[in-house]
Amino acid sequence: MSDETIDVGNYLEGVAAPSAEGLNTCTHCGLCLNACPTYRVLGREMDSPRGRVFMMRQVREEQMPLSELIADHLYICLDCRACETACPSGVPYGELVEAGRAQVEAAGLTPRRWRFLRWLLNRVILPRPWLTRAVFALPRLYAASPLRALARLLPRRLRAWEAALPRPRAPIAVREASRSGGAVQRAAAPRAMALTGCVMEAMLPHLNRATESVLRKAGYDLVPAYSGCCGALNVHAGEREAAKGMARALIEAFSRSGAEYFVSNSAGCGAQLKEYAQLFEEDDPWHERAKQFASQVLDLSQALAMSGVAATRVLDAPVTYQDACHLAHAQRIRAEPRSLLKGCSDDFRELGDDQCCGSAGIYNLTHPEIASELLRQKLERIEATGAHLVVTGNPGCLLHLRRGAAERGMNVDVRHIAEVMDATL
Amino acid sequence: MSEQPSSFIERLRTIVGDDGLFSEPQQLRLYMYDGSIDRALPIAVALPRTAEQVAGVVRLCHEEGVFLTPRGAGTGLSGGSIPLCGGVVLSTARMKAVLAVDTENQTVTVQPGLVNLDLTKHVAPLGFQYVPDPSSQGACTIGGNVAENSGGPHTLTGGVTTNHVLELELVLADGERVRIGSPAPDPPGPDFVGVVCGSEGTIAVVTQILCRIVRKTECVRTMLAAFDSCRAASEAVSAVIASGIVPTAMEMMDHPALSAIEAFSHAGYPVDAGAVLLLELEALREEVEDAAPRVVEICRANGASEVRVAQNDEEREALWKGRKKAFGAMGRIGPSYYVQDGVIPRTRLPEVLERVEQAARKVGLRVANVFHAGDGNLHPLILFDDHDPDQAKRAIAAGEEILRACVEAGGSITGEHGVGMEKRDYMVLQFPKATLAAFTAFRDACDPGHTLNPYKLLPSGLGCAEGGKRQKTMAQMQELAERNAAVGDAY
Ligand SMILES: Cc1cc2nc3c(=O)[nH]c(=O)nc-3n(C[C@H](O)[C@H](O)[C@H](O)COP(=O)(O)OP(=O)(O)OC[C@H]3O[C@@H](n4cnc5c(N)ncnc54)[C@H](O)[C@@H]3O)c2cc1C
Ligand code: SF4
Ligand code: SF4
Repeated sequence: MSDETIDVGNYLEGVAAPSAEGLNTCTHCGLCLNACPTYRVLGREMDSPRGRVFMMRQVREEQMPLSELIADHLYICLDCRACETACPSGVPYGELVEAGRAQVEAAGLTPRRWRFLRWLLNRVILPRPWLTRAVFALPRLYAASPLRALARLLPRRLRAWEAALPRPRAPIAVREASRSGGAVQRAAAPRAMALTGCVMEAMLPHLNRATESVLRKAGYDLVPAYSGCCGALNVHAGEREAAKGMARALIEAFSRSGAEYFVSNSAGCGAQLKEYAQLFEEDDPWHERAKQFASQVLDLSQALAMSGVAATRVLDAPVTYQDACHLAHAQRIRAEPRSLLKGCSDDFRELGDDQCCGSAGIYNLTHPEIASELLRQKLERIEATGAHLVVTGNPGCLLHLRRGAAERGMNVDVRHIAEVMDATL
Repeated sequence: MSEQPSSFIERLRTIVGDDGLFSEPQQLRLYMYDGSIDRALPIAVALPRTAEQVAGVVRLCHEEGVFLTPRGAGTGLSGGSIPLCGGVVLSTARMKAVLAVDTENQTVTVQPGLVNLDLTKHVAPLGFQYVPDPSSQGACTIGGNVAENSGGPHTLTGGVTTNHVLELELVLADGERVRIGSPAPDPPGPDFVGVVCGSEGTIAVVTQILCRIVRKTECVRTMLAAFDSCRAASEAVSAVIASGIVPTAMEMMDHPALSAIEAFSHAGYPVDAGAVLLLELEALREEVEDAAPRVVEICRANGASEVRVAQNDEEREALWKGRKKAFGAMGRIGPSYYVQDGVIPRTRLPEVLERVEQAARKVGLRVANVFHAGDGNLHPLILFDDHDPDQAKRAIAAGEEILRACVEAGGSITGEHGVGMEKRDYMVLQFPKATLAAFTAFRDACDPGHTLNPYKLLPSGLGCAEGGKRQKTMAQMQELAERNAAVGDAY
């Protein structure tokens, strides 16, 4: 994405713009259409990957203005990257849409709902760790308080939100299995740094503890965790400058720690970490550094699979796995979590569907109608498997699915893979 | 006209609802393309949800003399869903329900916008499959498949769409709703279903389809054979068929295609081979176990340097993924491609492939070949830069030359991608005047007002009679489109 100053068509100069090279890779074959959740729900070409790429290309070729219409459709996109998996031409869709949003942002065309929430989150809350902690801890503190008792007075819909709140859950039911496994002792334990992250530590701290515990069982030597924010929410919102600063700080801290691996337990953060290089121009020394860093980033499931650690207990309930988009599509990680779950279950059932559940960062707040339709479809698939335990690798999906399951009155527990592995190892 | 200027659009809106109609110029731009290289703007896009709404839209267009072009997923490769002369685009994207599954009679009733692969996924847990599997099956619709009479790698033994459609519910050009065909196979009387299959939206809009499904085959074996040249691979194809074995699929990819495909699929295709054959056997277990080693042997005898048999479903899917996404993968070696779809007798493969190569070389462009070798259905992909009008023109010229070669070799100008606007004027290469006149008369009887997908499929007297003069026709089309746009403005 260099030499953007020459010929950016109707894009603003001086702001990252969707690259001509990336846009031209699209042969408008349409093979991505049915992979796109928003196209499947809305049936409109403007809400398909092909349509969005076409619009971005038309702006570049001065056939269309950079308008509110385009802004709307770029923000209806979930950024789930399913189109990248489907596209045979290798269109770098994620990169394009993020640059497109940066343009929309710079032109002041960001849809209103987004603007407000994003301002609140990215400008007010996240930059202040104390506030982040306070805001996201609220639901947890509430859940542990006597106020809870009043919850049954809430209307049904709100009760579902309430039920999804992070709170101490019953331990995951497991039984001893006659399998040989157990913690791994390694001669030279690889050093790893875990990401506890911004929202995760405040809202779901027990998942971070489970992550650390399970990494130790897998034979990693943990250096103190990185507790800052990775900047993913900023990038998705088109705020690249802020994200660059966050990236530099994180990489710097990792280098100083001397760790070999950087482990993330959140699909969205992991994808962002692996794509840091895209934030920096190729002639910026940080570009190379970010690339090197990316090769050391592991998703928790990769770190566990690599270690060869094997479960000693098996899960009691039939289990299914929900592919988080930023694992399956953005990081192409599908096999590791499945093999881990098969290792600790006698009854693993495939969901047979990797469509986005609708959570997608703050999407479920900005586009609730589409998000709840996708959630409905996902829950139906889960129901069809008959599984009582759903495992996923992303906190956003976790909360979204929990709320949906509660609202629907389903008898399923939704858990993060860290907890499940911690209970069975 | 006594009506208010926008009343046509408003009347459309009352039929499909506010949320089912687009008429903003910027929105319309997204319906000017499909998977082919042509483009044209509609005056409105309607997204009906029910057959009644479809009938309402068709009737209104008929009464007002406004052109109407049906659209499925817009993966077509011959411009079929492009609103050539403006008018209304009717998209079936919101009509994608599976209405009924009848495993006893082995049929499924579906809406036209259902995606081909979603149909297969729907019946797979019951142990069934829907046979026609165009390479675009992950996105293209059953309605579009019917309109194009689509085939796929499994056409060789499975037949094309028309062989798997029993009954259709249609909206005729004047908005009347009818049902043709019958749930029982081979009903008496003329084969109207057969006529609608392949009619490319020019005689009716399909609103419901009763498809045949079959039990999944017991045993599938997929293999890949690498050869030095297309000639050697073609000879192997003929030798396999001569041996009495009929693989369900025999797909060929030449050297330029292989590198692009491998870059996408990482299926382990041998990128340095001159040509690769993908073969699939499907039958009862004993039959497959018996035939597979013989196929391997025949390939070896015909010069295969390597034959690989997929050991499990994952390997099998990986091999197919490369083939199925081959066209799209061309984006990795050229900005755009122009794909042809000629059919030739299998035995003439080597010489026609040479003429393909020559045709491209003559105009200074590159060509890659990915095709259904078993039934001689060629898909030369002429690579060009669509930003360069001169290259586009040269690509079209090479395409025409290739079709000529196919017809001269005793073949036809389209196997499965349809005629659309792209090959409309080449119909004269293939059919005698009298035959074309009969086609036209039939179509006129079905759509006297010429509102349904006008100027597609059949040469329409617009300077086409004397031969494939596409350029001239395009100019006339332009004129027509402008006239129609003016009509659109007037509404
Ligand atoms: C990468 C790629 C690979 C392909 N491989 C194959 C292949 O192997 N075999 C093959 O046969 N084709 C192939 N195609 C071409 C294309 O996918 C098929 O022609 C497909 O059937 C088109 O379906 P669609 O839903 O996209 O229809 P569209 O492209 O939207 O429309 C096609 C035609 O059907 C008409 N139509 C659509 N819906 C209706 C309806 N409900 N009623 C009446 N008319 C209707 C349209 O007016 C148009 O004329 C390929 C295309 C691509 C891009
Ligand atoms: S993004 Fe990829 S799959 Fe989608 S239309 Fe473009 S080339 Fe085809
Ligand atoms: S990222 Fe997801 S929602 Fe956005 S275009 Fe791609 S598939 Fe559709």
